[in-house]
Amino acid sequence: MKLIVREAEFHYDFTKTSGFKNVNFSLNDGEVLTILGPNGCGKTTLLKCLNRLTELHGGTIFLDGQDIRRLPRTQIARSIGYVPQLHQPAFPFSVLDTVLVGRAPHLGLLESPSMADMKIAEQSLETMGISHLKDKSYTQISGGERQMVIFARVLAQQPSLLLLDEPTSHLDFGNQIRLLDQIKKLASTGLPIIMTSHFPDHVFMVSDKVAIMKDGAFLDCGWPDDIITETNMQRIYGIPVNIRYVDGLIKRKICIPVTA
Amino acid sequence: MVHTEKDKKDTKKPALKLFGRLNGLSIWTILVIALVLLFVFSFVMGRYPISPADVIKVLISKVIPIEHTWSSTIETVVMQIRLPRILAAIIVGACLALSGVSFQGLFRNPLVSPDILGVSSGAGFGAALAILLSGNQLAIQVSAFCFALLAVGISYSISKMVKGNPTLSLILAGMAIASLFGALLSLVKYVADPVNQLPAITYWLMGSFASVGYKSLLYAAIPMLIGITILILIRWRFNVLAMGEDEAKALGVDTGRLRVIIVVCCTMITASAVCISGTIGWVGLVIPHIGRALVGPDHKKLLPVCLLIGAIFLLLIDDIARVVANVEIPIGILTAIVGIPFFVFLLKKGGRGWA
Repeated sequence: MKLIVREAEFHYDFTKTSGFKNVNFSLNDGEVLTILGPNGCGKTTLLKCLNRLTELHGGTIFLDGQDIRRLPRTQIARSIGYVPQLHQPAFPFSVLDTVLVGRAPHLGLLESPSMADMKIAEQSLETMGISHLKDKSYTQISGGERQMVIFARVLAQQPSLLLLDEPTSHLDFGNQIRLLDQIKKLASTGLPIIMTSHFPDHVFMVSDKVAIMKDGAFLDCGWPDDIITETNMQRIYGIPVNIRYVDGLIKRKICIPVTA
Repeated sequence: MVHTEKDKKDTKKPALKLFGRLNGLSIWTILVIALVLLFVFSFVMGRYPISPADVIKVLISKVIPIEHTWSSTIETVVMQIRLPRILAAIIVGACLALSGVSFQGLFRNPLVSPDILGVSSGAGFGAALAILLSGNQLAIQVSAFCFALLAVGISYSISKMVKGNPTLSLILAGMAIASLFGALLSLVKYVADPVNQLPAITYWLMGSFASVGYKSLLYAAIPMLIGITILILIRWRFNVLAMGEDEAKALGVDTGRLRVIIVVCCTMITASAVCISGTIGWVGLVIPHIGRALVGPDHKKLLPVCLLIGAIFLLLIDDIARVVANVEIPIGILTAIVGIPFFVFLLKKGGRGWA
C-alpha cells in the first residue's frame, strides 16, 4: 500500500482563514508517520480526509495510484482502518460483537458475519492479546482494554493502512507504552500507520517519519531525529524544551520541557 | 456515557439472570411456544365462553375438512370476532416493538420510541380530521396513515436542511413536528362536535382493536410485512450504525442511505399499525428493553426477539382489556399501566440492556 497526499487543502468555513493547505506527504509499507501539532491545528481533520470521512477542498489523495474520490466507500473501508479519538458505543455490546463489526466492509447490506468472519474476529483478539475478554461487555472493561478492543476491531477489517487519532490519549502511562508496542508490532508486519499524537517522545519510540503541523500547514516532515528539534518544538508548542540522547538501554532521544 | 469506577462495580449480571444461560435460539423457541399458546388461549378469553378444544377444531377445519361438532355461533365468534382482533394485536405489537428497537438502534439511544419523528401525532391528527369531516371507518384509517407519513416526511426534510449531526437534527425536527401536529389535533378537537365527534376522537387516540376487520387488517398487513422483512434482513447493520456516524462510515457503510431505509420501513410499519389500532404508547419503548435484558444488545438476535415479545405483550394486554372490566378498557391505557411498572422494575434491576 502506498499513500500519496498532494497539496491537500481544507477550510472549516468560507473565510479560508482556518483549516490547512499545502499538505504533501507519502507513506510506504511498514512505515509509521506521526503528526504532531498543537490542539486545533487540524490533525484530526486531516486524518479524516484520508479516508474521506471529510472531503478535501483541494488537492488529491492517491491510494496505490488511485484517486480516493473515485473509490466507493466500501472499497476505502477495505483498505483503510480508522480508530477515532474516543469510542463510545451506545449499547453495551460484547467484545466479540464489537470486533465483528470490523467485518462490515466485507459484507453485503443483507449479510451477517459468517463463521469465517467469526474466526477472523477471534484471531484479531488473539493478535491484540485480549482473547480472554471475548464475552465481556464492552462497558465492563477498562479504558485501556477498550482501546485494545477497538484495535482488534480495526484489525478484523483487514486494512492495508491504519489511521489512528491520538491512540494513546485517555490511557494510563503503562497502557500508553503497551499500545505503542502493539503499534510497532503491527508496523513490523508491513502495515503502514498514520497517527496523531501530543507526545514527541512517542515519535522517537515508534515513528519512522514525523510531520509537524501548525497554522494550517506542515511546517516540516521527515526523520524524527531531523524534525523533532528544540527549535521546532519551541515553534509549535511555544515552550522551551531540551532534547537529549540517552544511551545504555534506551538508545533514543528524549524530549524534556524546561520549566522554571 | 462515561463510566466511572463506581458504575463498573455496580454493573450487575444480565437483568434476568434466569435467562442469562440461554442462548438466542432457545429464547426464540420459548417465545414462539408462548405466542402459540397465548394465541389459542386468547380465543377462550371473552364474554362468550368457548373451550380451547373447540377453538383448535374450528381453526383446523379451515385448513383440512373435519366433522362439525360445534355450533355456528362458536364459529362466528372465533372466525369473525376474535380471530381478526387477535391477529391485529399480534401484528401491531410486533410492528411497534420492531420499529421501537430499530429507532433506538438508529439513534443510538435506548430512550427513543417509534413516535420520535411525529408518526403518532401525524396519525392522530389525520384520524381526528377524518372523524370531523366524515366519520367513515376507511377514511379514518387512510387519513391516519397519510398524515403519519406526511409528519415523518416533513421531519426528515427539515433535518436535511440542518447542517451538523444528522441524528440530532432528525430528533429535533421530529420533536417540533410532533408538537405541531399535537397542536393541530387540539384545534380539531376544539372545533369538533362534543357529543359525537369528540368522544370518537378521544377514543381513537386511546387505541383499540375492537373494530378491526379482515379488510383493513389485510391492507395494513402488506406495508407491515414489507417493512418487517427489510428491517429483519438488514438487522446486523444496526450494530455497525451503533458505533457512531464516523465509525460506521469508516467501516464502509453508506449511513445516509441506511438511515433513509430504516426511517421509511419504521414509518411504514408504525403508520400501518397506528391506523388500524389507534395510538398505542409504551410498547415501542419498553419491549426493546425487555429484549435486551433477554438476549443482549446484538441486533442480530435482538430484532427477531423483539418482534415476538411485542406480539406476545400486546396480545396479552388486549386479552386483559377484553375481560378485566364490564366495559372494554382502551388499550393505550393498559399498555401504560402494565408497561410502566414492568419498565421501572427492569430499570431498577439494571443490566446489560442500557448503557
